[in-house]
Amino acid sequence: MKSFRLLLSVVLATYMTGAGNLLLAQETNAAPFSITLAPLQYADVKGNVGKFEALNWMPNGATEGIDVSFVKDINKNISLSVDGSEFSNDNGTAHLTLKDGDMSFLQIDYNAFRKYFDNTGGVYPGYGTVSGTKANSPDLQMDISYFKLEVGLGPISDPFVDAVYEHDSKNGNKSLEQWSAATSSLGSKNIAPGWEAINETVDKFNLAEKKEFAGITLKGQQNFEVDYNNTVSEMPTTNYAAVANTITSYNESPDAKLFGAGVRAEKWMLNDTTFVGLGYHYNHIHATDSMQKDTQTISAAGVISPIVTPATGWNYSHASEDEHILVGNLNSNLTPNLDFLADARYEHMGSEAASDYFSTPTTTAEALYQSNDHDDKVGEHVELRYSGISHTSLYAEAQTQQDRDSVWDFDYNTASPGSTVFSFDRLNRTQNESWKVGMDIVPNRFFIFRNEASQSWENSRYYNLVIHGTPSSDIFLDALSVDTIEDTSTLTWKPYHWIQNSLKYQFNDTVYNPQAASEGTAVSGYPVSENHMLSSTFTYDITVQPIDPLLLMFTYSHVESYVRTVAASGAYTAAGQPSTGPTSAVPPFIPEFNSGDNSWLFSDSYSPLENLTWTNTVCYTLSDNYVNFNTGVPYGSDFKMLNFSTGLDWTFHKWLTVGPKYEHASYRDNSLAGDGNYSANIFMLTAKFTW
Amino acid sequence: MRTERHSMIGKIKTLMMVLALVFGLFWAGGVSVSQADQNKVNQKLYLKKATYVGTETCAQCHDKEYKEYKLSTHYRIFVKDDTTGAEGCETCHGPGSIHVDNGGGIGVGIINPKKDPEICFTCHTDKKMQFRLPYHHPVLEGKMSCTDCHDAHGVDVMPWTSTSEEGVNEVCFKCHTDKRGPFVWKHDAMNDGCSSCHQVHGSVNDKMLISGDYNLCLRCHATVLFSALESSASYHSTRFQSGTCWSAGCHQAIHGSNFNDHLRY
Repeated sequence: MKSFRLLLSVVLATYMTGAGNLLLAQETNAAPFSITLAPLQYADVKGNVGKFEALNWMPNGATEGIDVSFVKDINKNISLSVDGSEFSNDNGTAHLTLKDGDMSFLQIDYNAFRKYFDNTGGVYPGYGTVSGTKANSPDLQMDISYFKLEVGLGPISDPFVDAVYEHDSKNGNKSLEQWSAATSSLGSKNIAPGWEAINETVDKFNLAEKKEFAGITLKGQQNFEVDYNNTVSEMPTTNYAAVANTITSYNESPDAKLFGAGVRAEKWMLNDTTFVGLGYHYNHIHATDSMQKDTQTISAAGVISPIVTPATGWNYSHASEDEHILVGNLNSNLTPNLDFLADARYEHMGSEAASDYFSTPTTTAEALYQSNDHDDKVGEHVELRYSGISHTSLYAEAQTQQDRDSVWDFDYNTASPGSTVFSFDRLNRTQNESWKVGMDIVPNRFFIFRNEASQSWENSRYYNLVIHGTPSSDIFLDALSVDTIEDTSTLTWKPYHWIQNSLKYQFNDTVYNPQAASEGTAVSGYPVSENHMLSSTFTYDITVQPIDPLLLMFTYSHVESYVRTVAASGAYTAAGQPSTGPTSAVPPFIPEFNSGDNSWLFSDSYSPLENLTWTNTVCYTLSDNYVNFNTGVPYGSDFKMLNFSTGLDWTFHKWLTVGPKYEHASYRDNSLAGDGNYSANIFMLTAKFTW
Repeated sequence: MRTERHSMIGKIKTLMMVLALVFGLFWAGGVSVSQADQNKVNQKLYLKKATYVGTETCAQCHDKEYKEYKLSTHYRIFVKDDTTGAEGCETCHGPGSIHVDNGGGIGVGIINPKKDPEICFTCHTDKKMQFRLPYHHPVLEGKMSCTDCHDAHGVDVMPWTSTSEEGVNEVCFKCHTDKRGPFVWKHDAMNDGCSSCHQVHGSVNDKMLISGDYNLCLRCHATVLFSALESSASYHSTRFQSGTCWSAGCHQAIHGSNFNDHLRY
């Protein structure tokens, strides 16, 4: 793909400048052509480089690159636009659009970038820094690319035949949040970083057609997708004493093939006041997977042992899923001011999956797993939109869904021929209901007021039936209800044409009510619990343009949220102590997640001259979420982050624009909860040559 | 070593591209002065002088887009007799009088937001700030755009919507195909959508999680007396001391597993 990108860039560059002109039979305009060089991006990072790269999406050190763009009307019908860039950190883009009026078009879209990850792992007070302690730690960065080739007949915005090929890839190493034990004299905590090597390609083919027949728009679509993936995840332990460690790794290859097809009929009728649509879509996915677990030893001297004998055998699975979706839509202007919308959706999903698992590479005792899932969902939606009140729009909607999900699970071990280890049926019935009302009021040119309130209920009942055997360490849920209330209000005030304020308030209150059955027997009857998630977000935004060349913007955001469960309640610790296991000395107490985040963003743009713009941006974020949870691990997001940038955009000659820019980025973690401190100075210079 | 090699390859590629361009320019016998930037400046000036023409005027030429818009979520907040004029199409595309006077044309006297998120941030100020939190999708970095996930002219993206043939997680699976499955054992939370656990625009927590600690899972899985439900072989309470449900080496295949019914690997 990289070679392709280079080839594409060169071909495009050559074509757009040379061959492009040669092909011009009837040149109708001048050729706007520009090259932007960005040769001097340099980031000087002190501290946790990985954290800087991950949070700022840029590498430490120097980056250079080039961007070219070109627009040309080849003749009065055919136009060509090209934009491409290439950077030394494997970031790159390419966009090409060749259009023959409303007859046909060709588009190429390519985007590649590198994602960086931080290898810090977790932090536990007194354990010191875990990140970077592994000699075999790879560079945690992943190259992500997307390529699309699209050919169509008809207008580019509404083709009647459209063929698309897409190729996506991911290649590199990413961090995991699955961590291994770090052991010190204080004990053992799972905070040692893990990572995963990924090599993934996805190829997609899509063909869509559209045809008008008897006033009805008929749409057809077929797609085919092939996914290949290989991952190797590694989770090494860390011991602060000079003793041997282990690396647990999983080598896995989940692949999938997907086929989909859909048809849709749409019609606007009654003088374009009523829309009716009916669509059907079918999807089939076949997935296979293979996995082997390995364990290696790292000696006290840091030498990794070879894999002599894998920890498990090769384990295989296959799964197939069929999905049928039917959707009907109606939208009607009942009166000039009243719209009625009604939608209905039916979905049937059936899947069958099986896997076998060899717990050691030599065992012949094979664990066989099978599961079947049949899920039927029916959803209904109605909505009214009313604009009959002066300066006002109102809307109200209601939505429901009924879900019946039947799961059969079968576990069998060949070590005990003829005996099923465990088998159970579960029937899950879920009922969703929600309503939403909203308004938009523009009483005059000074004010805009928007509000939207909604409430939803999701009630699930799980009918668990153990057919055979005893489940191992299973806790069944008998029921789960999730009730949510949301509200969003925005008030915009424009006292003068050059100033605009807006204040937005968002509120979300979700209550989870799980009810458990007893382990092993799936007997119901335990009390209903109440867990609570609540968040409030205030956003104030002001934009001021006191004089034409000066634009000032300021935004402040405050988020207050918590997640509190019965595990954090006093009633739980008093009444919930088991007779065996943890005692009050080690309470099963999980403190609530309690977060307060504040962000301030200020930016200004000043253009004293028509060819000169000076832009400054400051963003400061303060997250206050440290929880002193010494019996567990204090996972608080507790940091201060500052980003400041200043830059010029100066066209000092008709063919040359330069853009020097300086940026400072810093991040400070609470040392009890994180280890990501960095400070960085970034220098950038772009030079754009235009012909 | 790897970084040095990439750096060297990058320099070679850049050099080759520059050479190709120089060669191309020479071959073409030179190119003329750009009109594009001048057009941009003119466009700004045009737009400052432009006035609102109303959505019905837009509909006269952009019939398809107007009909799509009438079906969309954004149409809900369309105020017909708005006195500022900045409603409907012109909320995002700017005042259209210059565009109309010039007889239309792509980008002529009109704002085409395309992949620029700033137009969306005009109203969605909360999202502007979420994208500046430490862990975010790279929209501000220009590697993604709002339109990669949202259709400004289309229906809303929300859980169990009945308005579209697309599933709730389709937009996420476009890039995160490995999370799609099907699995031998799936996590039921996937039915409610990825946003049940992930703050999809940006978060203070790694992997854009809603909550970075145990409480993420305990919302659904913490029940009264649940520790008493455990067998002596699996004290969750002691496991909790090592780390979260997914980070402590226990439930690592949290999206779904093919080889363990407790989603361990």
